[in-house]
Amino acid sequence: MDQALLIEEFIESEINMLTELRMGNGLDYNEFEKCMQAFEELSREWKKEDYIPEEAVQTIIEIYAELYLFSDNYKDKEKVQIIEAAEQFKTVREKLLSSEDIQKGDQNETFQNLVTAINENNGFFVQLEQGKGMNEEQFEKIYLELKRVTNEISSWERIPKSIVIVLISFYEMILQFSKYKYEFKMSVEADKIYDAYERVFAQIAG
Amino acid sequence: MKGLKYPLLLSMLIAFLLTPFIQPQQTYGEESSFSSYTVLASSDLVENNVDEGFLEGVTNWFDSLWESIDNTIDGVKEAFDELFGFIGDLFESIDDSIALFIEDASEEEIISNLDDTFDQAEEYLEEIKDIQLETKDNIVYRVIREDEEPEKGIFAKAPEREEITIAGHVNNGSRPDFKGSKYISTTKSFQVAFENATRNIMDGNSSQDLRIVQIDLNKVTNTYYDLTDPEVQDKYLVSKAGKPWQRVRNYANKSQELLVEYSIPKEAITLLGRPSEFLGDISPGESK
Repeated sequence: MDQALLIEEFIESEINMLTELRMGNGLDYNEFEKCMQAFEELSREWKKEDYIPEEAVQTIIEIYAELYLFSDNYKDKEKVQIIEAAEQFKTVREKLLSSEDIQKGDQNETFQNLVTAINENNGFFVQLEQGKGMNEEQFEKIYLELKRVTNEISSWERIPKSIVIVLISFYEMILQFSKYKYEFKMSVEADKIYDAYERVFAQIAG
Repeated sequence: MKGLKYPLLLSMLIAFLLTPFIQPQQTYGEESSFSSYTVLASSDLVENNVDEGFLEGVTNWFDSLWESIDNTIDGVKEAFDELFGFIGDLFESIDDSIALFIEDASEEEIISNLDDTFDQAEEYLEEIKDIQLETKDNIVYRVIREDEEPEKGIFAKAPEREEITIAGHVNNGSRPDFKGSKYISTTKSFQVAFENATRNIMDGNSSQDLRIVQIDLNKVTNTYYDLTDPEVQDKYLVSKAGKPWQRVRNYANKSQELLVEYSIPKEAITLLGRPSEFLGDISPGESK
């Protein structure tokens, strides 16, 4: 199938799948299979590329987090099925974005500043994942750089994989919120993460 | 020639002066009585008895006017009779549904019958809408939380969170941990409201029985956004790059979403009640 058509199918089936989940209608297997199939084919085509077409980036960034979040609206078997679907997408995505294949794309100065801000203090996301909380001061610095990057790339037709990886980390901050709130029982910290997520969401998505 | 010229000019002048009396009938009436009157009057004026023709015309005009008013009143009466008929049918349908619950039926049968009843109710509502009562276009619904007090008005969950965009509200609003925004979600669809009132989509579709309120947008004083309107979507449901954000648009379309800013005054709200109050027990054995 033509790549443009595959991208279209990938995006459309993801939207349909998530819309049904949001309406409380469970996982639509037909849409899930269409989406997964399209994503697998596209991943094979993009494996050796350093860039991803802009129109597919949002779907790649959001798919895992959105599925995972919707799984919270369901119970028992349905919940498990949605989590499994999310994990399948994650596996394909990880292969697509595996670092050894990324040769360039992080040459851009604005992007370099963002990476530097993230890597300070032993890494913003590393600290977050280890349950050490969110460094608010560092976040404000990162947020400024993120704004610059998102403004700059909004007109690009192809987005470097290295930027996509970073944007995924920001989008998935919402999953850290759930972890802090329900696993670590750190509600104050969870609240800070939630607010930070909503700000980055507006920057990344709209 | 001079003697002939003046009466002719006089007749033309009278005809000209009488024209305004004839005009309203032409714009108002569509039936033959008006058009034939116009023709008759014109010929009477030109021929002989001007006064008689004029008075007859004015009398006829008033007669027709009263007739039209009577017809209009009859039309309104008929529309209301139809409306009451539909409401009667609706109640009959609800009674049938309640009777079904009382009978010893399996859960599947009850759900199926409830679906049928609801479809029927929806058809009646559709028919009522066809009568084109002016306010129907401006009615939305909201399923309210137990802590909301519609008699005092409805208020946004977090009016201070100005930074939350409309798209952000739509995307994140269906999550249990959503902290709210300055927007209040409503739906243009009674069916969507009904479904949200009876099943908790944030908790595995567990049964619930929440109150539904009807909101008259004519009485809403704050800005509201009909998110099913393509123009509104083009302005607010766009990605960072300014492109259509299709996923969020789909969410809004499916839920027939309309957002109101900050608050809805109590005057705009009519409490419709809990679904169990107008359709009987929804899921026997489950808590309401």
